[in-house]
Amino acid sequence: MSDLDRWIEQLKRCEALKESEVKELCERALDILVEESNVQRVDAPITICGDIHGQFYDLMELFKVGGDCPQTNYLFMGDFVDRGFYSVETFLLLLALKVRYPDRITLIRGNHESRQITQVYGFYDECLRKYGSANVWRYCTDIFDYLSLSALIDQRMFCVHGGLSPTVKSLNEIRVIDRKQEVPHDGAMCDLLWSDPEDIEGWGLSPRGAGYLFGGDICTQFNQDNKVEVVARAHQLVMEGYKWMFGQQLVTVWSAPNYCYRCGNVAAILELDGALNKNFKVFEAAPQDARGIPTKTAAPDYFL
Amino acid sequence: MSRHFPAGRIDAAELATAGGTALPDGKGVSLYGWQVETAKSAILSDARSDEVRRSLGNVLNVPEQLFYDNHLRLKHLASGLVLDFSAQDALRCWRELDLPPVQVGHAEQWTQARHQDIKQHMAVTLNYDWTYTTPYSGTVQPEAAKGSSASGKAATWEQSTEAIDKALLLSRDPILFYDEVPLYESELDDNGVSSLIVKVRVMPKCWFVLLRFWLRVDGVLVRLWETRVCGRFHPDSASLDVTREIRRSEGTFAELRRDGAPAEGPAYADADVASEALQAVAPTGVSLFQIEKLVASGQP
Repeated sequence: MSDLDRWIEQLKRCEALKESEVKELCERALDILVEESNVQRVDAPITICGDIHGQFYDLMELFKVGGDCPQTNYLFMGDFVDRGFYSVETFLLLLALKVRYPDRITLIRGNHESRQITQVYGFYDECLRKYGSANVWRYCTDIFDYLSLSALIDQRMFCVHGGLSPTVKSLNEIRVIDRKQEVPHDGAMCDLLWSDPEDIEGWGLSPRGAGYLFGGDICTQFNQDNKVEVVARAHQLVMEGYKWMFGQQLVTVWSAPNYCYRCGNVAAILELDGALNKNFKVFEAAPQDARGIPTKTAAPDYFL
Repeated sequence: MSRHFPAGRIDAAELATAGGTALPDGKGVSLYGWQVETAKSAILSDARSDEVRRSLGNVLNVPEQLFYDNHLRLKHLASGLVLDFSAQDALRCWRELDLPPVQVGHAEQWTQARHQDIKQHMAVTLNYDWTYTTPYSGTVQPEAAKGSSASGKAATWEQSTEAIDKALLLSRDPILFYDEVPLYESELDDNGVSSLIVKVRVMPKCWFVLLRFWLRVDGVLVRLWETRVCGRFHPDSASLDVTREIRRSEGTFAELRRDGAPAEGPAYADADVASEALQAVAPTGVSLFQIEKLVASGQP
């Protein structure tokens, strides 16, 4: 058994790799990711997944429902880390699968695959807690910079973590972005990872002073200009696991069931067959006994 | 999906010793003329979420984690008064308050970099309080009239100088019932956190509720608006003895730092630790403190 297969087996048991192994895995992943386009071309059949957020045992449920990699081809639309308890194991498993089966699994970048965000929302602290140093966080965040920004399935479905950008009319404008950097605050790269569809007309600006919102007319125009049928994206929690908008021109896919271990939502993955027929598979969180962590019940406390 | 939502904790032995009983399905307890119960379930479906948005004047968004069917309810049997804590009323208060939108830390940089595009694409700034800040302190209502017009008297909160008895809360009497009920939470699209959570503990001498609105906008500010309510038990079960304290503290990270509070970071990771950090620099940041007593109409 190769090191890589051994690592995958180990990670599937939710056992983290040694620091030196993480370093080697990331070096090998870099060689593959650096070759990928900002609009990575992939072929159907393929199964599209949304946010995972370190919910390792729920990722195992996802593979049960969707089939193992490489028997099933996968596209993960980012946000592998933060929020959940097992960001390290989750990301390393996906990365190891990527190195082992580069043509069978595609990973694109979410807004959480960033140094700044992971320092606030959990991944940094988890690395520190598990490894006693920030090295593993550094190796992983360095690899984040190489993740592709989007994917195009059979020229017909455009997949991105957040949404559209007013500066991107044509996919070629994504192709020329220099993506090998921390997610910036400016430019199309930021918008692709952060923007949201909204029931408005045209472009909107978030009331928080940063962030674009785009309406159905914008999505229609983009799809026409680029001859795609659907935009698939993740980024926002949807209670039923997936949500169509704009007359089925855009779909949000969410793959973290019982988000943050208490929302009670279901998750979904989107299966596309060779002819791009769509089949959503909805699944629930892994049973408590399978995940080795206690239910999030609050212990009585003498709060004041 | 009920497996995700364990009921509150009841200490059956101590509850019996105190002369109380558990409510059906373990959803709460009954003692000294009070019924305390909680309900917990999943966040709202997308369709119902849309209904809620419409009911709030077509507001563009509501918190994505909206525990609309959750509540904490304390019922005083003798007077028929009910103290209720729910997301529905909290969101109504959010809309009424309607604070001007906070700008995130990198707002200026973000907008500057896109100045041309924003103009060219005629992007429209949406305007609503995306932090979901609510002055909600709970709802008091007469018991739902069930055909009987006699039941259900109104009640009012009247200013008082008599604070909640701290000694009562500090005593290590057994906790007969305990629960923590989220009402809503938003990740603010990864710009911080906004949450409204209510906790309750029932002891042999009183019940105590802490409702907390907690907001952190990364790089900008924190806001902790708290309501504490304490109901003392009396042997006759009929008298109403409920006091509440409303305390609001908030500040920008810059202001708080200037007055000696910890810098932004782990000290503001959640409401519990932030509460300590904020308490330590009081009166800096304290914007409101008031004590009130619940007075049923007809009560002296």
